Amino acid sequence: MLSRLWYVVLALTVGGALAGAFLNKSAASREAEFQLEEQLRRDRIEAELWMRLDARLRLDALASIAVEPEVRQTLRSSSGRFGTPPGATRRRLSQKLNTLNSKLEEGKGDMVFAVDAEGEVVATLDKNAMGAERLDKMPLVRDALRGFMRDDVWVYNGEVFRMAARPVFDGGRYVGAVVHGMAVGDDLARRLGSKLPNASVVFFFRDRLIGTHVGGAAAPSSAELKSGLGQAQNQADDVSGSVEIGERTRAIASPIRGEAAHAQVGYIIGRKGSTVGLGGLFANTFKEDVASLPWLVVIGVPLLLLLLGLFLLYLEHDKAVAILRKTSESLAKNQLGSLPEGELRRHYRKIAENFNVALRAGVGFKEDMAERASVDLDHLLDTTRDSTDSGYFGFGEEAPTAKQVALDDEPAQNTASPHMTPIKAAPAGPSTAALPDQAAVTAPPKGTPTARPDTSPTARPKRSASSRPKRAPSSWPARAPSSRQPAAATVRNSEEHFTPAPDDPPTRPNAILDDYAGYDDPEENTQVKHVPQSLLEASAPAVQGEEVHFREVFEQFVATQKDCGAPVNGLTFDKFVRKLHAAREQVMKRHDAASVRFTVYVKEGRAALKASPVKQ
Amino acid sequence: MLRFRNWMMLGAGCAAALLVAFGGASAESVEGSVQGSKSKQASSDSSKQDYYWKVWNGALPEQRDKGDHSDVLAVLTGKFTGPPIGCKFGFRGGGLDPSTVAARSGTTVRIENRDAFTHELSVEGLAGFTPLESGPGKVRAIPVPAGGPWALGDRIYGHVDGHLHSMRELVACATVTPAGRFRFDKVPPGPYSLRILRGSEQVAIRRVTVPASKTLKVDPLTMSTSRRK
Repeated sequence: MLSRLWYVVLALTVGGALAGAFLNKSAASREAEFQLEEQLRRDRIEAELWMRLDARLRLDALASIAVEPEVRQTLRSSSGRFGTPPGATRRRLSQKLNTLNSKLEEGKGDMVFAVDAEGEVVATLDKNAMGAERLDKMPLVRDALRGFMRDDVWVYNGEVFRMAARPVFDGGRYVGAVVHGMAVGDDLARRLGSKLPNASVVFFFRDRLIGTHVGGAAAPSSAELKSGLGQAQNQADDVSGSVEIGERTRAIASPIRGEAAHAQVGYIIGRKGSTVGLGGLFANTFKEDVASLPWLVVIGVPLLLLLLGLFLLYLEHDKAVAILRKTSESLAKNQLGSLPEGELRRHYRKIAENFNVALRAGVGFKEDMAERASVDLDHLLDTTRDSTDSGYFGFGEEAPTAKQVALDDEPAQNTASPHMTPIKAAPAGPSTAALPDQAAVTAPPKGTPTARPDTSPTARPKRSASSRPKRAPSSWPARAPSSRQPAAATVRNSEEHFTPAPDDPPTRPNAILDDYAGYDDPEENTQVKHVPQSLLEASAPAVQGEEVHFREVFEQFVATQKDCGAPVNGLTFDKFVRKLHAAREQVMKRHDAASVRFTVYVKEGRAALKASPVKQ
Repeated sequence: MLRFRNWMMLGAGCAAALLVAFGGASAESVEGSVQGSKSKQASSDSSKQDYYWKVWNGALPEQRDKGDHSDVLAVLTGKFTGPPIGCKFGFRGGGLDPSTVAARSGTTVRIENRDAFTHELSVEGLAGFTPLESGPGKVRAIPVPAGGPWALGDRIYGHVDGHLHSMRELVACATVTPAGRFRFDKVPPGPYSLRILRGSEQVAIRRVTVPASKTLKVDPLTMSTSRRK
């Protein structure tokens, strides 16, 4: 019970550990997602700072153009009452702008305007563009004409430019402004992306990507970012608005800082989160964390629990199994008569109890019963040959009946009867090996200590074949074919020549059924006296249905006798049956019973029989 | 007798109508001026900060924004069935010039893009008008139903701001210079209402009669306080 409880505790512990692991995984995933959002917010701040710095650098670089004397003079001549300068002057200024612009290197503008004080474009990088273009209503230009340095982002003929403008003054007054623009494209995205490792950056104009940079394999692709463009745009005004655009992929969008934001120009920064599996729970573990673990608890408690579990298992199972194993070995060696029930507990005690009951009842394998009986009989017969013990029936002490005499004197040719087969069919064994031929089988071997010599006083006189009565054909069912059967039958017919063993109690044949005390008490043991052969002969046809019962009783008797450690040498089924028939007839006659049932029990350390009349 | 008198009045009316209708042949000019605060140019100062840097140059003092009247439009309304005179509008310098636009109800107003870059005019609340990109030199026509005024804008440039007025008896339009002056040319003689529109509002009105063969000089009109944003 304790071990089962231990299993419950173990299962609960494992379940709790798994639940904890999965909860930790969920918490770790949530934490990773939170960190990803935080990272994206930081990315956006960093991007804003970088673009602010970039705008400042462009403004500063533009000073080299604004202070150029030719630019100042041309714009002064164009401003105010002096009117627009002639075309040649404007073309020269245009060439000058190109020259100055090329010196800006990385800050080289994709478009540069020189604007007079009225906001009219005097020169551009395109020297052939001599139209009357004005920019006076553009806030960037207006602020520059008022004396401010300013940046902006424009959508200019379908392209997006980062703009910067600064005033041009000459002679103590403002004469115009220089406007500088750099296209927003992949180059800008790359430069920005280099500041954001493992992040992808795209610039968009409405639903079109105008600049992309993918920050490596760990970063989302531009296609992924484009797929989440609409979703990200909706969240662009939300300060904390990062959106999930794919599996473990989030993006944060921001409108670009400038007038182009009105035209839905912005940028998106995307990142992929890390996978958090059960194994990933330890991915972010530092050595310090491992070192700070209470190892005494982490290892000691499970070890203690393991030992406790093993101890409980030993108490409940291993100990009992060991006892059972040891006692069963002793049982097999006949050193013990039963399993020690008292030393066992619960189920094992029940098993031992049931096993002991089965042992006491002599229960065996039913399918092996016939074979075992045959083997036992063979063993008995084999050992009988070498033993001087004639068995409990002690037929040697009894006066032979006429039937017995007839059987004993049956000539050797009778061995060819249906119950006897030639010895050569028998398997090799001590008995059969000593019988080289059929004559040797039918005649006891001379010179053997257990064989009765023909001249011994106890030898029965030989009868002539004619004096022997004819045996009625038996109606009993034939025995199962056995290789040992011929030898057994042969020996059985010759065993009555054996001399009883000196230690065999002379009264033992009578003692077999000597507990059959009286007819008034059918439950009392039955004592079987001499059974006339005539009764056996007469009853044989009528009791063929009891053959099975007799055989079972015989087998139980032999088994019980063996269990008791008593010898069974000389005990044969035929002799046994004759006794049973005699006893049965007596009991039936006395009790006017229809039949008799025999049971085997142990009395004084030996097997005994009890006859019980059965009245219909 | 009564029937004769009716016929006489009908004839006089027809003569007056003919005089108004065919008065172009003897069209005159109307000059005037407005007084009132100038509008400030659209600047990012009033909107959200859409720049990273806006710093003074450190050399010369900041030049004040003098303002202008680009959001003011002078119109004449009256009994005149000809096409509106001088009502041409468009983008110039990056914005609407002027930003207040008037059109006769049921007609179409044309917005020309005089800039070197594209605009995408939008009319807020005007059913059936779809903002489309119009490149340099292109004209966008807006059918003007009765009602209004409607807010004009640009889907590319947020600073673009204007208003469209629908007027049933629109005769002529005149822009107002930064100095506040305006002039109508080729106006047929006759009685009119001189209206000053600013943004979505009419900020001044005066009844005038344009004489034949003589330029009408109108006394300065004082614009009422504009409630435009």
